[in-house]
Amino acid sequence: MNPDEAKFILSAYRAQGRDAGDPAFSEALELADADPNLGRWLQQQQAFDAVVSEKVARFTPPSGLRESILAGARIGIRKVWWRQPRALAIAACIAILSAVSPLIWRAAVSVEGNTLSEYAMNYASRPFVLMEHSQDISQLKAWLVSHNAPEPVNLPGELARLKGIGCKTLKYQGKKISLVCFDRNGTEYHLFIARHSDFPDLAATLQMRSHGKWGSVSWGDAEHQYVLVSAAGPDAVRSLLL
Amino acid sequence: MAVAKDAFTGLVDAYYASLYRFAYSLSRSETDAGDLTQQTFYIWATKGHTLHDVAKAKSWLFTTLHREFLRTRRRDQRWTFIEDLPVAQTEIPAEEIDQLRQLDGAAVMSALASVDEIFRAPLTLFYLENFSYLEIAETLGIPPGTVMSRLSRGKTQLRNLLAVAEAKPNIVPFDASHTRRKQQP
Repeated sequence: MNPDEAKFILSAYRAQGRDAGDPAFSEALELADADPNLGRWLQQQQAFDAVVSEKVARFTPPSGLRESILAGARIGIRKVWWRQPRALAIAACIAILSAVSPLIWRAAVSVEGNTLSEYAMNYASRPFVLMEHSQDISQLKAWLVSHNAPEPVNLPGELARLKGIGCKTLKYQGKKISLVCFDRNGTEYHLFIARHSDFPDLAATLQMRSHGKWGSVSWGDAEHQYVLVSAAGPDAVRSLLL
Repeated sequence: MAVAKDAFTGLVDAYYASLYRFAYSLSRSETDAGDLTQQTFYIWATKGHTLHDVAKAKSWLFTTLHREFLRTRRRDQRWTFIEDLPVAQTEIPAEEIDQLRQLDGAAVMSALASVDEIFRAPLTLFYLENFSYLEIAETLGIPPGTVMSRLSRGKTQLRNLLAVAEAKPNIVPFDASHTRRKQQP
């Protein structure tokens, strides 16, 4: 073994002697003991590794992630409605699995769909985390605008009067789209918004879809294509547009 | 009233931060990292009971997150293979390590997330969780020798990226207009 081969192997050697008992490193370590240059290189490498490890450990997850994980998973485990509405607010827009059949859930494993409606239904039926939380729709719109994402404008019917839960940006077929989540008496509705300029082939006409208990309705205006989905079912979704 | 932690909560508390960092380094997006982390724990909640050896939960979680990332990432993203990148053979001056200590965690994480994808996953597991090369091989499903190669080459790339990050704070914009005003009588 020459020093270069030893360096190659010792790049995988962890600090504080964690791998000291692994025979894969023994020959390279012996060479580092005998060769001052290689020994110095190993010391420098370990110092570099220690600082990088310490630094990345300080990178903290967003607030609310832990609560979202716990709430989302418990819904899945118990198959009952989440019992703490306040925690649900923190874990906003976690999929309502109690209302979704196992068949739907398996279908949702593949998030990408052939259409924006399929994508929206798949995405909304699995756990996800919102980037901005507010009941105030104008605040959610401002956040989306500041992130160069499509904002909801001229929403029809009761949808325009609902309280918000939160919003986030997503990538669909490489283009930025928005998701705004609404609350209607404890039931969540998820509005996906895409720019027509990004998806010129999307039909702007009103279209209804259903998959199990999930329902979606899509429509368009001059600038945007919208897809509204909910586990409350197609009738409930449609009624929001009236 | 205090509520006793269940096993699942304990598992989340133990690993969600590390899994999020791993997810962030893979996806380079806070949103996707949050979703991936949550999805991983959801899969555990629904399928984890099939894992008979609970001691392997950590490895299972990281493997599952990595698989979820590979499955959900866009099809038009491609692996980057840079086989001619040199292995980590050059010495690291003490000044370089001192400069590295001045960087904050977000800057180092950003540099790590900028490493080519093929090297990023093994490097992140090495630095985040102190995974051994054998654990990395098992988690990512690649041969141990390949892990060594990717760690060595990935460290070279990370050093280069960190050097750029270290240089940035020293670049102070030159305000020419302010100087001209001061020169006027």
